[in-house]
Amino acid sequence: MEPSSQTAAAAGILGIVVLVAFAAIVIISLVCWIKVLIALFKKEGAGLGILGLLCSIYAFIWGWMKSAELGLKKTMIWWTICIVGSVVLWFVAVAGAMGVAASDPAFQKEFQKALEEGQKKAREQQEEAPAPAEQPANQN
Amino acid sequence: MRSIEPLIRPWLGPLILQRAMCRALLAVVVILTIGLWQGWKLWNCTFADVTGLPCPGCGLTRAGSALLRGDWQSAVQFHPFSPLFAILGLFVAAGALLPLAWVRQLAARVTLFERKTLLTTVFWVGLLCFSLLRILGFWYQPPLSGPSTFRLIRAAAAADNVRQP
Repeated sequence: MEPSSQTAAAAGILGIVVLVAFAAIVIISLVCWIKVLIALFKKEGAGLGILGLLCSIYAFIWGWMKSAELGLKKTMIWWTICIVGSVVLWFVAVAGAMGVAASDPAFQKEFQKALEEGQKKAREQQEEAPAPAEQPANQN
Repeated sequence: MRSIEPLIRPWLGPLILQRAMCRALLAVVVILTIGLWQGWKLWNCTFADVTGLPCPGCGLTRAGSALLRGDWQSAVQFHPFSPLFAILGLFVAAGALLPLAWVRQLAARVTLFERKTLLTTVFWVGLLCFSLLRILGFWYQPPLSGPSTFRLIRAAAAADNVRQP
């Protein structure tokens, strides 16, 4: 096997592993978040409940603060594991994608296609509503 | 009236009084901001990851960045509630950093103001209506942050399919 195709095959397996792990993480995070939100709405009312819905960071901190009182310790441990796991997976996925991008023309082609589609969609959105000045793509 | 009491209960005053919460929120925001400067994705938005749609808070970081530059027009386009969130952030920072006696006074005044005006309840209702309108395409939708992990994985899977005849 050529070095580039070896890298690509390894990245393919890594991609599947990351996909399964990430899907599991998202589902477990969602369940934990919903459990904390239910407790938050019951305990603090709609105002702070909506804040937890809007800003999961608030729900996460509140969950830890009230974990002993409301018996949420297990849920919070699982949620924390998921958050740490998702950060680790993000780094693994980026490192894997960079490795493949450096060695695999098929990936480069597919990535270029996805990039162009994204740019086209963004242009269409900007035509519909005038977009503000260009910003670096940040979280939120 | 009793049945809607949980819906109109003041929340900002009680939030300011939770000093540990305010400090934790401030610390997390600082950590996430440093992460963003480094280009790291330290917190996934579960809503966006699951649905692929912008959550009610999507665009707030970019709006905040525009606000800091004094570019109000861009800030409002990224998220029309961003100036109000900036004020909310100031209250949280006050709750975290001011002396306890001042925080108590501030929280009492804010709670009284909330009870009289119901402004913070109106704020949430407005925000939820705006989110719905944005999802339906009636407002500029900021592109979702960076390549999300799901998108990255999808691209890798698609490339894998291309490779395999």
